[in-house]
Amino acid sequence: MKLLKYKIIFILAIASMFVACETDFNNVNQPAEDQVLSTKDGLLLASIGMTQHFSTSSLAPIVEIPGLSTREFGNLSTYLTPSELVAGGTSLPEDNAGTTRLWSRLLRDKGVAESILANADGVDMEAGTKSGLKAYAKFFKAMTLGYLIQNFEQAPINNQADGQATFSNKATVLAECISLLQSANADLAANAMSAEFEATIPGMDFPNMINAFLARYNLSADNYTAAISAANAVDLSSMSVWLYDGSSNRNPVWVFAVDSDPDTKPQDNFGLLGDYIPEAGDGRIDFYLSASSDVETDYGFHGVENAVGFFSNASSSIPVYLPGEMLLIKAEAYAMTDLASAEAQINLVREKTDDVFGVNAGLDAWTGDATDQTAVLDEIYKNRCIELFMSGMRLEDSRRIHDSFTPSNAIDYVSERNRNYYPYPYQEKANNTNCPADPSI
Amino acid sequence: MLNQTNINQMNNFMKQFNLLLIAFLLGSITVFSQQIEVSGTITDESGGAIPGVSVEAVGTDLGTQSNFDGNYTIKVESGKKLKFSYVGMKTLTKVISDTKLDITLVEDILGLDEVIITGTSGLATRKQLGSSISSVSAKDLSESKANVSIGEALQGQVAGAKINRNSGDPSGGISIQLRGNSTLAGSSDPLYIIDGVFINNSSASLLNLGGNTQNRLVDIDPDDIERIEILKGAAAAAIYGSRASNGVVQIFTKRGKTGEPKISFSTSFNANSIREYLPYNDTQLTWDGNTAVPAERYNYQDYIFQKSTGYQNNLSISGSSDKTGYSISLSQYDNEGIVKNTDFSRLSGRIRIDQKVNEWMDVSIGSFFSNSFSNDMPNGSNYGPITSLLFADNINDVSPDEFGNYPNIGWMPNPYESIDRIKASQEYFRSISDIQVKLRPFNGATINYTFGLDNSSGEGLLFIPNGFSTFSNGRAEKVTAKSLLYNSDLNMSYFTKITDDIKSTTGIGYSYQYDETDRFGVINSEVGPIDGVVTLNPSIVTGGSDYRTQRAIWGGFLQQSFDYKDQLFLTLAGRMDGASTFGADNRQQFYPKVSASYSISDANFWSDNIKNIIGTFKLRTAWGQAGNLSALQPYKIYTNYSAGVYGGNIGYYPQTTQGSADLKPERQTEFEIGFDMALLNDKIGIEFSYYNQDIEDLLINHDLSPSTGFVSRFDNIGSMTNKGYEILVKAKPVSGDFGWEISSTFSANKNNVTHVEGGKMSMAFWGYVVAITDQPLGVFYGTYIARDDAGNEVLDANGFVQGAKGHYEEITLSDGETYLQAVQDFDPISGQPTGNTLKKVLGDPNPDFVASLTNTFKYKDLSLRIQFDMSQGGDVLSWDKRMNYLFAGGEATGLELSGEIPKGSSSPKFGIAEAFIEDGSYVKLREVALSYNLKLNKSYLKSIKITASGNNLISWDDHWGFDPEVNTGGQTNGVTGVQMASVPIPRVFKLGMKFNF
Repeated sequence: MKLLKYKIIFILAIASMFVACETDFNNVNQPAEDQVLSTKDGLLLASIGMTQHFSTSSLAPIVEIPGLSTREFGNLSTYLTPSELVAGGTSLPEDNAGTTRLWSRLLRDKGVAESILANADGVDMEAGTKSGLKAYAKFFKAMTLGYLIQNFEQAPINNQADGQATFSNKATVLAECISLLQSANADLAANAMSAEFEATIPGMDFPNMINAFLARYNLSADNYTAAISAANAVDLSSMSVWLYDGSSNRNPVWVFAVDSDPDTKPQDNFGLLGDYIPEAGDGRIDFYLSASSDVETDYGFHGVENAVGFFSNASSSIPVYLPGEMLLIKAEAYAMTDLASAEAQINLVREKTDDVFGVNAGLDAWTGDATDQTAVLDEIYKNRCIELFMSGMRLEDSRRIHDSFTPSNAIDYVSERNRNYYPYPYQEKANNTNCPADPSI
Repeated sequence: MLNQTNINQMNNFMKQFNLLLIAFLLGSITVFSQQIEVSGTITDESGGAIPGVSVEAVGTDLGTQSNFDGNYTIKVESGKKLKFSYVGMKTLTKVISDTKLDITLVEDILGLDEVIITGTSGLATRKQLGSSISSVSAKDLSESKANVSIGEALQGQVAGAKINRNSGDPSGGISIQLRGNSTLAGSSDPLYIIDGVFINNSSASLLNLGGNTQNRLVDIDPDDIERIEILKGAAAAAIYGSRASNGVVQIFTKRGKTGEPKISFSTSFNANSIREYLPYNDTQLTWDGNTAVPAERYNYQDYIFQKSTGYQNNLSISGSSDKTGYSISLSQYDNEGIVKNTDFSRLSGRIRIDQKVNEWMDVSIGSFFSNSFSNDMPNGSNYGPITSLLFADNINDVSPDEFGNYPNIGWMPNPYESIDRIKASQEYFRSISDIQVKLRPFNGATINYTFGLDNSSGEGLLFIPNGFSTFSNGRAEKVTAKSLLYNSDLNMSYFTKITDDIKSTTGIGYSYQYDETDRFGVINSEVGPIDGVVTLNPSIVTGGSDYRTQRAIWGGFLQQSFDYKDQLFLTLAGRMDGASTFGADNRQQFYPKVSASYSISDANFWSDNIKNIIGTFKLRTAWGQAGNLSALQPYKIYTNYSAGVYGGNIGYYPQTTQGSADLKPERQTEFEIGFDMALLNDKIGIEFSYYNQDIEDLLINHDLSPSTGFVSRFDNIGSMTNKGYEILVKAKPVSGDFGWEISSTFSANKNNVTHVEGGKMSMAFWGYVVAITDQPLGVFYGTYIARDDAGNEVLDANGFVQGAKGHYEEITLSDGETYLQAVQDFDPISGQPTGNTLKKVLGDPNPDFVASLTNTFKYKDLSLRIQFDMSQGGDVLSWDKRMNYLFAGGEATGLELSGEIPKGSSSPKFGIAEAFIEDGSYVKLREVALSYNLKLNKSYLKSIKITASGNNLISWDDHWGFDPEVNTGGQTNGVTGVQMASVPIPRVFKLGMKFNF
């Protein structure tokens, strides 16, 4: 029986080796979603990650894609994506890589903002940090939603994990953007943002930034009084910028429009024609452009210039919004009822020499017919095109101010826009039964 | 939570397990009795002595082997049975009645008496098995082959296997596919086990060499192999669970056998050369406008390729004393490539000790180490000399000038400069160790415990010097990769007779397998201009990576076999297992199997008259399920966030691929049926199997609607089938002094994708290789030539072929998905194609069948072996040919210059994929080997075997290019038959000698 005892002990020793075996392993390379969203540190890190992704990957198509459809950029390549965009009309297919990029990257950013909002309340943290976290996520969701609705006829207000997100029309989306921004303001009013959160996302002046976007979306939503009061609430000397270190984060417009023989470059005269061509002596010409003799090899044979201004090098900061936009929002809102006040705002832009970002037209007062609403709006449009050059606003501005113009279905390299809205990307249509039909143009 | 639940489950399982063990042990008994010495001679039917026959006293652990003259001596208890077994011979068991016992063994052409270990609970003869299991012994792994690895040594040996050497690089990867593809996103290579150790056969390359990747079987010396067992599908492999649906290959290395110590030394020398150059522009003209003017054209291939040599040495010593067996080997392999400055060398050693501890316990310890080193040259889809060859106009002398400057030839690197100046090397240190304990607690019961450890560490170095034509700042890379695998397996079996006619074998086992990888790399794209100074300066590193994974796989099985009158066999088994890479709710997967076999020729009604014609006839059938998890890297169940820096702060952002917590293994259900038949007194043996595999829950990374916030996600959403049959025929028409043996395999497989999301998805090579519902996996998809209804080409205004144009019409596929079918449109007036450029399915890389025929002729000690390999019906997508249409160094430009074809007629074909789909069918004279076994029979030297052989001598094919066999897709599953600047398989002549002391 002694032998038997040995056998038993021996076999039990072997068998017991299995008991301690591990069967679950965390990813040591990257944190998983529940690790990020369940702690204060994780939520702050997600806010930074979202900012990093937006300021590089999303801002590139925000500027480039509508910029190609509205002549801000000329196309120097033969690549399919820019060629289809400068051609526009119905020849722009649903699987264009540029519109797909614009759509999916904004939705990814919006998804992170939604994840932060869904989890922030469940995590303990200092009141000022929580208010900052939530206000920023609300701002971010409003901003990404806003850029979506500037380019697509409808957009999903909430991302949905099952892939069947429902879409809302422009008025509903804008109302949601406004309500998010108001809620962000309320969060900050209740608990002032902590120094901790402020240091998390450097380079931004939150209350001014939120009000600036409130002004933008109220204008788009035809809430003129609210637009004026929000714009008035913005301190024009305040600066909020996207930051680039020039190596791991590079200025995205510099990457696609400046760095080593780019495919796209700004068109001559800001891509404007006729009466819209900037006046001689407009300081904004030299601010944004430096002369180049390059000409497109097709696609309308437009001349192009080199981009400077906010895109001079890999580490140039890009403004989140420009103070000039506030003046122009007020001008446009006043233009609906009070043309004289509109003219005054236009002249503030034209005569500006003290812009905090250096976007100074330095022109004389406007000499046009200030009693003609159309003339006033055209002057506002012209100044928006120049003042807010390469900021992703022109498609929205052209559609809003020149709404009577309908782009043709044919290939069009010349008109101020060749689409009203983009077709919904194929990947959305193929996988989401709630995706609406494409706009006719 | 989860962790705890699993541990609890395992705890419970182990408690039950331990109780069972104790029950086993209580039956333990020991018996002693008187011993006598028995001796005799063992011969074959023609009277020749057979050395090395295993002689074993049944029911004891006493055993010996016949010596060089076929004689044996063994001490054994009177009244016991002696069992005589030898590979290829029928096992014979005799009761001892005298001290003299001569034995004549007869041939066993089907190997039905061979003992199979893999997938059985304990030991089973092949006769008992319901599924077709191939077993290949060292004898068949012809030593004459220029084998760099086991895979190549198996070519032509296994019915149902498609073995492909993907590159002619000296360490080029080899893929083995058993019964077709069974996964879309993962590797289709089988699970490899060496002496019970689950080993790493990863094809992860340390450097991006553009398609040529080694697989880690290359570390193992084929000379160490005693035997290989191959389970080809789920029906046989179910008890290996979630990693077995590609099949299982178990390799057994040599062991010390009872008898005199055996020392052998083998050495060989080989010479390699390119079999066929890529057709190129050899017309000594060039275009000056539309006029051909004289020009000198160079054959750059003369500089890229070389005649090269290699050698191999192997020393092995083995033997066994009373209680201790040992086997030790050392080997050295060194081979240059046919591409200049490429080579592969391997040093390896192996030791195995088998120790009988006492009556009821054996311990075996094995250890293997190797050092593999290769000098590589990027090629395939990457920069490299053959890639440059496709693009360069060979009108320039690209050799360096007197100052060593290489002429710049445009955007592609100068091929001579690549050959001379790119240094790429990979080095691996590998060790595989195992400890095995075998217990026999009482009669009929065995318990095996195996702990196996496979540890490898690799280092890849790339150095492109400053001033290189396409990397003017140079580039240096250093990548290290470590991998560790271990498995801990406990298996028990219990054999008992239920009645005199019914025997039962019960097997139960549990396995825990763990692996981890660690990869670290740095890149420096600013390299100093001093040649030879190659280390990276860490302070100016411009890129890199650090990635680590861990994974565990665990599971247990229960297998029950019944044996009725040694004629009818039934096996039932089930395995429950899980893996950490799958979702928590799908961790526990159950894989059942049932198999049966009926040896009809052992039945009473099988009269001697029938036996004279059909000596053996066995029917078998099996059904089973197994899983596959190679498609999924660890951590895909999580939505992972990547790091980024903003404003000096670190942040995290979700990756484009969403995690899916519901992932589970791909599951194959296989049914097979077949027979084994021996005819005409074992002169002819036939094995036939038909199989039908349904593979479901294929893991596919599919598109999501962007409004999820993600781009794609892995889900179990695809399915496909494999149906096929395989035949093995062996014949020995003549035996005696003059012998003739024939061995032939034939394998036909038909793969069909039954569902992929969206009906069609791109797999690789920019959408040219796709999976489409109702088509075989990996078909080629692309543009095609415009043809009218009668099939005649519709030529353009120049009289040249042109691409088809038209529109697409939606059709519904069998899984309900829609597919856009191309419909040609022609202008009603001009008759010319009009509309959008159309694409369609153009070809199928999967061969209709692969086959091998080996004839071996023997006259006394002289033998001649001739092997043909054949693959028919597979297509090749040849980028080599495509480039030939457009670039001036290509053959097509030469033909245009010489006026054989009109100027400009080739370049349109560059844009039409159909024009570069090639027939990949071939018949190859794979090997001719002549060997002479000189029997000296001296005390210091028993024999010398001299072998002269040639490999890859001739290929009969219609293929344009180097070689129809190579595949730039490497060992990636689903992507076969794609060629892009791959190194062709060399022709090899080899002279070898083996000394047996």
